[in-house]
Amino acid sequence: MGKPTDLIQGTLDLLILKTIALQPMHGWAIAQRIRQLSREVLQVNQGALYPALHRLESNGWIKAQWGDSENNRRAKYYSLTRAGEKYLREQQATWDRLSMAINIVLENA
Amino acid sequence: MRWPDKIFHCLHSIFFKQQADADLSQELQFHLQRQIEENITNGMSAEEARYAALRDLGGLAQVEEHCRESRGVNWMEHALQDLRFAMRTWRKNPGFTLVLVLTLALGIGANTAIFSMVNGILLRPLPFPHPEELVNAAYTGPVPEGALIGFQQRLKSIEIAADTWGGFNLMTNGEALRVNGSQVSSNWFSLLGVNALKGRIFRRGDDLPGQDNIAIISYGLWQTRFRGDPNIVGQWITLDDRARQIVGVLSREYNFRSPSLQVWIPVRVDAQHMWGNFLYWMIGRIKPGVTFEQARAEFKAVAPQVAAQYPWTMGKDYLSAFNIGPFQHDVVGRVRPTLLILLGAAGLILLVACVNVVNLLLAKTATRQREIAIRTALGASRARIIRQLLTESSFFAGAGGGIGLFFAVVSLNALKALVPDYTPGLPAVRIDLHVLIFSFLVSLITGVIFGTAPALHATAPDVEQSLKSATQNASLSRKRNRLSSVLVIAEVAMSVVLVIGAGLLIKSVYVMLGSQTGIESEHLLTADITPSPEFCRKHNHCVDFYSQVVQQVRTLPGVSNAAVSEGVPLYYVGRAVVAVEGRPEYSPEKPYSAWEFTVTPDYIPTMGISILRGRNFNENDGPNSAKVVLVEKSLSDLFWPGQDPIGKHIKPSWMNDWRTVVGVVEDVRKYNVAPDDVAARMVGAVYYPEQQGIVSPPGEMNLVVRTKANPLTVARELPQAVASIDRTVPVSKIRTMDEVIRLSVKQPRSTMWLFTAFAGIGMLLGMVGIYGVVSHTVAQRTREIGIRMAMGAERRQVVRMVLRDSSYLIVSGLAFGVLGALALTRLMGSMLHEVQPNDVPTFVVVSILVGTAGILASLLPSHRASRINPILALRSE
Repeated sequence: MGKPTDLIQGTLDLLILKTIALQPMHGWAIAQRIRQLSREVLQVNQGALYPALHRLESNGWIKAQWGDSENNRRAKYYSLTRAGEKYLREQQATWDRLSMAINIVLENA
Repeated sequence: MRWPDKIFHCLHSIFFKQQADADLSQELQFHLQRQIEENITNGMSAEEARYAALRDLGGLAQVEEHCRESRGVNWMEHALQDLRFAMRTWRKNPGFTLVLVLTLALGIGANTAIFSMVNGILLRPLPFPHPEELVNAAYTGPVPEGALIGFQQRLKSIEIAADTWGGFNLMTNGEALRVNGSQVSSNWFSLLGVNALKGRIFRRGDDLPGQDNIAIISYGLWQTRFRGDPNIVGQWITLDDRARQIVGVLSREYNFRSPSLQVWIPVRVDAQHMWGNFLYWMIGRIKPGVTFEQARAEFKAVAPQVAAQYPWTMGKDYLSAFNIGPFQHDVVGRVRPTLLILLGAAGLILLVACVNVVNLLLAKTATRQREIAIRTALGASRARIIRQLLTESSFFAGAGGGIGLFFAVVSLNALKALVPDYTPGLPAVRIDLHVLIFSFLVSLITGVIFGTAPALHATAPDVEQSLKSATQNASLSRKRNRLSSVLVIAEVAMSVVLVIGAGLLIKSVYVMLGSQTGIESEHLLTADITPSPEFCRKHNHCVDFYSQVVQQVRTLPGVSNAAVSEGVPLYYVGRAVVAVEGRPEYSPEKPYSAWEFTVTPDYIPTMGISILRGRNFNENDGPNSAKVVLVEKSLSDLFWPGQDPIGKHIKPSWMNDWRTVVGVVEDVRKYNVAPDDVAARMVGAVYYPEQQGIVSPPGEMNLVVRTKANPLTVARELPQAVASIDRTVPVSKIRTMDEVIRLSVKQPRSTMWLFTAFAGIGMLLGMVGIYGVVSHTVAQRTREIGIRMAMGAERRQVVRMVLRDSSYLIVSGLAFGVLGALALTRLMGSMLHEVQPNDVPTFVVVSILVGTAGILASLLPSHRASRINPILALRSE
């Protein structure tokens, strides 16, 4: 396993939205989840994670609620809003198109 | 995007700021705890785990700040915070702040004041309905009544009205009062679109003989002479021996031609005098649906038809001069350059003020470098700090703008003296919404301009350096010093331009006041003495009356001589076209226009005018004796160079009899500020004896009185002396000749004072700027100077070293300033009389003056440098 790869600019939002689409999560868990799902390839810069969460919240794509965490401490749980779901679908479609295009180029060039 | 949500968030985080901050910090704490636990699970020690977690997060304070920012909160909250901070800074450095705010107040105040003039006079349309339709149709000068009627009858696309103005004798309660009035065509007010405050305006038919015994009076006359009598309409007054019924009172705002007008009467329609008097100044209103060009074409086409009716042969140029032009442009044409130049000067002041403030702030931010570095380390982004500094500067600009507005309000009345009082729109000059908006925008822009440079500099990304030591940060301060130097050079240059402008104006006024008048103005009184035309018809054309007045005045104690004249130098001098015998180049196409004085015999000695050749008039030059004239030296030199002018012949061009020159007198100065373009082409003055006058009855005459002692004591006796002969003849405008001379330069003088004030402010600010920069450099070089002195440099050498540096700035500034002035003072041509815009002595004197001021400003800091104690200086690091 090599050095964790820095996230491509702008993809952090997409990953966050996708991660919490399944269930509400707190910030630390989001970072862990992304890391695990990417098989340790994607390392979320924690310094950038929270500003991103707050930005998404103030844009109205996600909402936050305080709840009890797995070890009974209060944590802030983020979940998708309806606008967020729509935004996620758009972003995912965009990403799919983009990555497909890149793949085509890489395979055929 | 969902705005309601955003706004809710924004407001929420402002009003529940503490809650939001607590939430944020709890959220991050939770994250840290989880990470620490995770790290411990992975086998780190507790301490190691904590550091690793913090490291991964990248600094709690920074993340918190980034989160707050990404909520998009907080421009409002930040602005409030920054403002509070600015206020704290302000309280901590009252002296610094005072200098800063006053500097800005001067700059913004000057601009606001001048802009309120520009706004009221140049920008605001004339206060009449559809002002764009109004045209000036008097490019040929005044026309005879026949021409006025000719135009009115022929023109389809323009309605024409006309007026002529002068004085009237208003009799009330047996007391004669001289009032200014105007004769207007019956459509005058309706064409302008003016309504009466009380009663009615003139209407068609009001000028017909028998129906024209009516008058309209001004608001001012109504309030003063008639004490605001509510039943004023319908009352009868006597104007120039003729009873007239008041039909209306105009509102206070009416100001056209002159604010001093007090009565209006209909023009006299008189079949016998249709062509004799060139009295009427035409204006027009273009009818709706007609373009300006169509109207002009029709006017020019009609003009030859009208001119063909004249019983006189008019000059060739006369016909081609007929034209129309937009009214506002024409009437404000003369004040436009003055106002625009003053606006430019005010702009320069503001620039100098800005430069000064930039320098002050640069020096200030130098000491704040550490503070800024600490804030940056705590997570403040560059943009955030720049915004904070800009908020501060806007706060200062706002404060300066407020005080500047106050300055503008206070100085507004003095400013109004800058332009002639007949300038339309002048009463409308005030601080209105436009001016307020202008002032606000200027303040705002100023704040951004002077805030940006220091802010960018202060936040130049060199945090570590600054944290280590502010004084070792050599490269940054060199950059800053270079910027300061450039700014000071610019500042000195702009001051030089302003001071040279002021110098030229001062010289212009000084030259005008100091130039030979040809008369002895001390102990000399003048007054208007104005019998009505009717009175004169009864009194042998007033000749008897005038000789009685002169005799009566001579008997007053303290009077040594007295005379009556038509025309007083530097006050009012009439003109008449003359023919000269034996000068065949005279032709109707090229008339000689000469100044004209009609005088009683003692006029020449009373005024103190020297007789160079021949004789003065005497009592024998009566109506039946040979016609004689005196001529001025310049006229004699022009027409009869190298010959004896005595016995030559000259006459008013329209008269038959030649008049013989019996004497030559010294030239007198007729005006200081040329009344029009033609004034410069006059051929000189001709004096006619009153008993052989060319206009009879003579109109308004002037009484001139030479006194032995203080003329003011005699002035008090004059009205009574004249009233003892006839109570119906008013004596008005009693002034000493010195006052008349002062009034003749009133406008250039007030322009000069304003410009001088501007220049003074500019120079003062320039000196403050030089002082600031030199002090700052000295402070920075304390160590270096200490070393030099420790190595044996003498105080004198230190002073010389500092002065050498500042002279470099001053001399560069002077050079640029002189170049700038050469380019800019050309624009002042219309404001300068008898001084060239590139007058070398002025340039030299101003350069020396500003240079000296600059050296003086840098003396104090250089002296301070020489007092540096080498031991303390070396230890101070």
